[in-house]
Amino acid sequence: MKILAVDDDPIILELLEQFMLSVGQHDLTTAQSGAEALDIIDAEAGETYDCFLFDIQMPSMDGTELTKAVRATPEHVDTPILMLTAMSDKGYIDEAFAAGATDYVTKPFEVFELKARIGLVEGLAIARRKDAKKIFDTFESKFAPLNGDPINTLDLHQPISIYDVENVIDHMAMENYVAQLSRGALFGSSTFAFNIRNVVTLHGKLTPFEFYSLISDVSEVVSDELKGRQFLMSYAGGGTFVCVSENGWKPDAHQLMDSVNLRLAHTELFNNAGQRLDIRVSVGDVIRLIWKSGASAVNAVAHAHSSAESASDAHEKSMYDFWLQEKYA
Amino acid sequence: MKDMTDALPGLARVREKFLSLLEDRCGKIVEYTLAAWQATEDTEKRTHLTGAGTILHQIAGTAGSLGLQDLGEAAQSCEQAIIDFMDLPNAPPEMCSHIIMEINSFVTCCEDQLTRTGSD
Repeated sequence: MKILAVDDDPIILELLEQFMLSVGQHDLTTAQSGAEALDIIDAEAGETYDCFLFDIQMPSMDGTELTKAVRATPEHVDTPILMLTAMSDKGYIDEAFAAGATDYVTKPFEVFELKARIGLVEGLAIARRKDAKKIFDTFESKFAPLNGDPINTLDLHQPISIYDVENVIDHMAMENYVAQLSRGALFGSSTFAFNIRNVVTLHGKLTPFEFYSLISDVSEVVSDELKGRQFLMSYAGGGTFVCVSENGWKPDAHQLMDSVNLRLAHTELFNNAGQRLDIRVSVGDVIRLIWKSGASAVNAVAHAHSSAESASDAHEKSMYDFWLQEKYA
Repeated sequence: MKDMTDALPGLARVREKFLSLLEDRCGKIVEYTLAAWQATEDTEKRTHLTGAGTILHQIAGTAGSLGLQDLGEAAQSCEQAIIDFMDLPNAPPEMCSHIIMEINSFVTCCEDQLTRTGSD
């Protein structure tokens, strides 16, 4: 992998050089500031890095600002960014994830931990290239008629990266975020999920590009609805968006569902043939993450995910049952 | 725990460089801390403590990976004392005394390490 590491401490950069030498197969470039890193990226326009390692706390431009700047370059909208942090302060980590970080490693790091993270990132970089190809290879088919024969190469259950929507992060980043935070750091956090009703039918009818656009539009609507709250959200696949809210805010699921659906109704979403899409979501259980950490926190997110799917199924079933009910005068 | 010296053979050279910088870094931390102690204005005090905190942050981030856990933990403890002070808008004077004591322990730790390195 071609990696760019940025840290104001030359000792960290030398440590990383030694690490890369021992692991091999990686081409490491280093910079001591955010400005220097951006100059390097600019000078190599057209060339892409496979992975970035950014220190969070740096003078002038910190790692979070640098992440935002790098995410604004078309070549690196989804390049994995691993944050290096010596801080346990969750506020910095939350900001870094919201800015587009994929994962983080706590300093001082150890060789096996770093090796494992880089290995995960390498797998992610390969998967990203394939996913982007799937979506944009079929760009031409976006004008296919709704009832035509859309080429569905985008799997319904695969997580999709959403860009430029506030506080919406990659799903892998969300899993990394939840799995690594300590019990104390998750004290004021809750998790819940939204599921798009009838998503299987929608996925079957829409082209991959239309489906991708739908997911992106719904995430924007939800993000707008949650504006003013501290939260992170990701698209987990299967029409489900998972959220982690902070600062003790635990939403009322029904109220939230109604307000998101009202906003969706006002947004008026269409397919590429100009036909209106009637999109509604269901919200599942809202779960506090108090005293949960690691795997149990990830399980809580998984439960929020499945309960949102169940809520959608229950809603569809109730609609179906309504028509089967005996009618009385 | 975070010692990588066995896993990475080239680390001895990085450790040497770290130790060669340590005396200078330690001196700067002491300068910043004394300046903070003598400052009459709160803003000035915070500026000096930020300077000390930046260097301590760097030491805390690497010492453990180089087999210098005690030094890293001492630096982290000082950094945390400074963060706690910064987080309070009207920090009581005894918090500044606590920082001085923490930094004093850290400097002692640095001196011990440099003495050990010199006698190796």
